[in-house]
Amino acid sequence: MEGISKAFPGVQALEGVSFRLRAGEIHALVGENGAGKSTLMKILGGIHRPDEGIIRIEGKACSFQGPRDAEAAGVALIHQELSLFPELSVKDNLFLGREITGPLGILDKGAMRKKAEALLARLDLDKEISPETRLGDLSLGRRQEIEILKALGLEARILVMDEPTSALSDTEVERLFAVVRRLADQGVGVIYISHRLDEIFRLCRRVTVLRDGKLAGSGPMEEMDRAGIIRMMVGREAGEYFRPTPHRPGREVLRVEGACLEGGTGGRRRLVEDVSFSVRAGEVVGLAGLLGAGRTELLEGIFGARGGRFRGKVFLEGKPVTISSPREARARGLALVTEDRARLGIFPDFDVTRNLTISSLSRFVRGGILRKSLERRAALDAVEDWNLRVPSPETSITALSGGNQQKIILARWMLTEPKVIFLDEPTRGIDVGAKAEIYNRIDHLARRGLGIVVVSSELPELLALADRVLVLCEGRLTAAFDREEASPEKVMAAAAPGGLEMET
Amino acid sequence: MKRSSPLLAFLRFLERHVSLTVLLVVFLGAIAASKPHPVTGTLTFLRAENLANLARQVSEMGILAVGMTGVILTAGIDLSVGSVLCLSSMTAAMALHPAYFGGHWAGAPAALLALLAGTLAGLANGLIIAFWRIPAFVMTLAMMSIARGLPRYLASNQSISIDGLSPLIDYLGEGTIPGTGIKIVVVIFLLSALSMGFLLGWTRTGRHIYAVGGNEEGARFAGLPTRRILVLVYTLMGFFAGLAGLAHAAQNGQGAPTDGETYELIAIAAVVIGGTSLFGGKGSILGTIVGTLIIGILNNIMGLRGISKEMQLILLGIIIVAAVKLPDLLHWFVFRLEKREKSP
Repeated sequence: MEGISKAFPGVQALEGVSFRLRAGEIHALVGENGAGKSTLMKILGGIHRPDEGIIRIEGKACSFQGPRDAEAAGVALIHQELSLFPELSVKDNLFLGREITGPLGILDKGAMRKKAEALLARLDLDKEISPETRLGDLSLGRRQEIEILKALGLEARILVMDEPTSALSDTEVERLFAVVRRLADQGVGVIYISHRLDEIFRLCRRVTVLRDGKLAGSGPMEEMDRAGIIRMMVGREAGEYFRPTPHRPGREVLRVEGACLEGGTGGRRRLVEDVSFSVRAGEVVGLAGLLGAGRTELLEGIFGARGGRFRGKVFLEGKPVTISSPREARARGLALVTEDRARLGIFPDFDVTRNLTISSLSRFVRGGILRKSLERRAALDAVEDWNLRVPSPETSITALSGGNQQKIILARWMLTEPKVIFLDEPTRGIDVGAKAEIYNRIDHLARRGLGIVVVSSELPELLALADRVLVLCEGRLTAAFDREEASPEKVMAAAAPGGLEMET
Repeated sequence: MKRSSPLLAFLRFLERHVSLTVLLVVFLGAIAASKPHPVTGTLTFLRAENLANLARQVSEMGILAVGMTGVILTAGIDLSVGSVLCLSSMTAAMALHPAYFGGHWAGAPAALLALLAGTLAGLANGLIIAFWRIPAFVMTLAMMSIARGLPRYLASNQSISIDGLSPLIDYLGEGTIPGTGIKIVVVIFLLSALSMGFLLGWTRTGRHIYAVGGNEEGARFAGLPTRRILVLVYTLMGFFAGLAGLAHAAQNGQGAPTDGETYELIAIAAVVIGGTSLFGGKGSILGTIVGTLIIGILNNIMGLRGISKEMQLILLGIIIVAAVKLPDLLHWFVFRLEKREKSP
C-alpha cells in the first residue's frame, strides 16, 4: 500500500501512509485508538476506498470496489467481533455465501463436508471438530480458528487479524500463535493488529506504527524496543493541546467503593472489578485505558444504566445512595454524556430545542402545560452560550455536525443542574475546532465547581484535561497519577495488559 | 436562484401535506362517485344525514385509532384492541342484563365496569411489555386471544341484548346534541382526540412518548422513565378500547361475541395512513383523524354505491397500500423534477 490517504467528514483518518507486507511475514500494526489502523485495514479489505494512494498485491495495482473484490484478490479480514453464526454448523459457516451447489441449485452437502474436512486438516483440527458441529458449541479460541479456516477456504494470501487475542485465554493464545506461524510458513502474509506489545514481540517479524493517521515508524522487530514503540505511538507535541491552569478542587462530591460489573451472558465475565475512586468538586478526573478496559462500563454502571449487574457503594456528597436507573442518577445530580452519540445521545426525530430540553422538561411546565415559548427561549440561550452554529432552534439535530450535536447534549445535561458529569469520549468524531471548544467548556465547568470524569482514548487530550489520571486495565484500576507525574509512557505502561515494564 | 416550475411547487406542497392530500382526493372522489338523490337532486354523499352517519360510522374506529397513535408513536403495536373492545361491550351488556353478574346493574356502574375491563387489559399488556420485555406484537396477540375468549366464556358465547335496559346507555347509543344531528358517540370521539392531542402535544408525558419512540435506549440514558411511558400508552389504549366497546354496545343495543373483529387492523391502518411512523417517534393525532376520515369516507361511498362488503374489503386493502406508498412516489417525482430543472 503506497501513499494512502483517507478523509472522513471532519477527520483526516489517514495521510500518505505506506505499508509493505511480504509473503510469509507476520507484520504487527500498532497505534493508539483512532490512529488509523482500522481505516487502513478497511481500505485493504475493500470496505473503504482511499482518497489517494494505490494498493499493489504481488506487484499488481488493485482498485477494490467492495469487499468482494478484495476477497477475490486474496485479502481476508478477521474482525474483532467474529462474523460467524453460532446457530449454524462449522461446515455451513465455512461455506456461507459460496455454498457448493449441484444441478438445480441444490446444496451439495457431501462435497462441502469433504472440503470442510480438508480445511480442518490443514490446522490439524479434523480429529477434534466435525464439520457438523454447531459453531456455538465451540470455545471462542476454536471459533477464531474456524474464522481463519474460512479465510483459507477463500485462498487468502493476506490475512488481517484485528485484536484476535482480546477474548482468549492464555492456552488459546498459544494455540492461535502456533496456527498463525504455520500459516506464515505456508506463505500467507499476516497483518497482526494488537495492543499487547509482549505478544507482538513474540510473534511478529516486523512492526509498523501509526499515529494520527500518519506513519510514525516501521522496521524489523529486532531493531525495536518497547519504550521506542510506545514513544512512537504517543509522541505528539503537547503544545497542540489546550492546557488549563490546574483547578482548585473543593470537597468530595462523588466516591465509589468496590465497583464491580458483571457482563456477558449469565454474568460470567467481570467487566469491572473492585474499582474505587473519588471525585472532588471542581476536579477533572481522567480515566485512561485501552478499548475494553471497562471505562465505559464503569461509568454506565455507576449511572444505573446497567441495572442490577453493577455492585459497589456510591456516595454523593458523602451520603450513600443507590442508583438503579439513569432516571435516579439524573434526579440525584449525575449526568452522563455517552460515547455513542448517534445511538444513545441524540433523538433523530427531534429538533435542536427538543433535544436540548428532553431531560429537564419539568422546568418548562406551567400549570401542567409544557410551554414551548419557554423551551424556545432556553434553546436560544443555549445557542448563544454554547456558540452553536445552527440556523434556528427548529433545525433538525441530524443536520448538524458532530461537534454541535455534542454541545447540545452537554447543554442538555447542564439544564439538569448536575453535581457530577461523566464524559465518555467527549471529542470522538468531532473536528479540531469543536474539540478545542469542548476542552474550554470542560475547564469552564470544572471552575464552576462541577465534578468531572472524562474518558478518552486520546492520551494527550486526557493528560491535558485531567487533574488526576486513573488507569484501568482489564476492568481493574492499575494506576493513579497526579497531573504532574502523569506521562503518556507511564499511562500506557499501566494500561497495557501483562504489566508492561518500561526499560528506561 | 431559478424559480421552480408550478408543477414542481405543487408536487412539493403535496409531498409536505400528503395525508391531507389523500383526504382531499378521497373526499372529491366520493362526491364524484355519488349519485344525485332521486327526489331532491342533492348528491347522496353530501346530504346532511349521510355526513352525520359518516361521522357516527367513523367514531368507534376513531376512538381506537386515537389510542393506537400513542402506542405506535412508541414504536409499539396493539393487536388486541378489537378483542378488548368486545371484552368491554360484553362486560357492559352482562352488567346490564339481569341474567349475569348478580342481576341488573344501573347504567353508570355498568359503563364504568366496561371501561375498567378495557383499561385493565391494556395495563396488563403494558406491564408485561415494559417489564418482561415480551415484544408488543406477541403480547398483544396473546391478549387478543384472552380478551376474546373471556367474554365468550362468561356469556356462553351468546349475544346479550340490552335495548331499553338503561336510559343512560340508550342515550349514549342514540342520543344527539340538541338541535343538531350529531350523535353522542361523535362527541366522545372528538373529546378523545382532543385529550390525546393535548397529552401528546402539550405535556411532558407526551414529549416523553415521542422520545421513547424515536430512540428508546437514548431515552433511557437521558434519564426518562421509559418503562412507565410504555405502560401508560398501552393502558390508555386499553381505556380507549373500553370506551369504543361501550359505544359499540350502546349503538348496537347488544354485546356480541364477534364485536370488534378485525377492528385492530383498521385502527392501525388509520394511524399509518395518517402519517404516523410504525418505527415510532413521528406522527400526530391530527394525522390520525385524517386517516380515520379517509377510511371512513371510502367505506361510506362504497356502501352508498352498493359495493358488496367483500369487495369493500379488497378495495380497502389496495387503497391502504397505495396511500402508504404515495409519499415515496411523490418524493420520487419531486426528486426527478428537481434534477431535471437543475440541469438545463
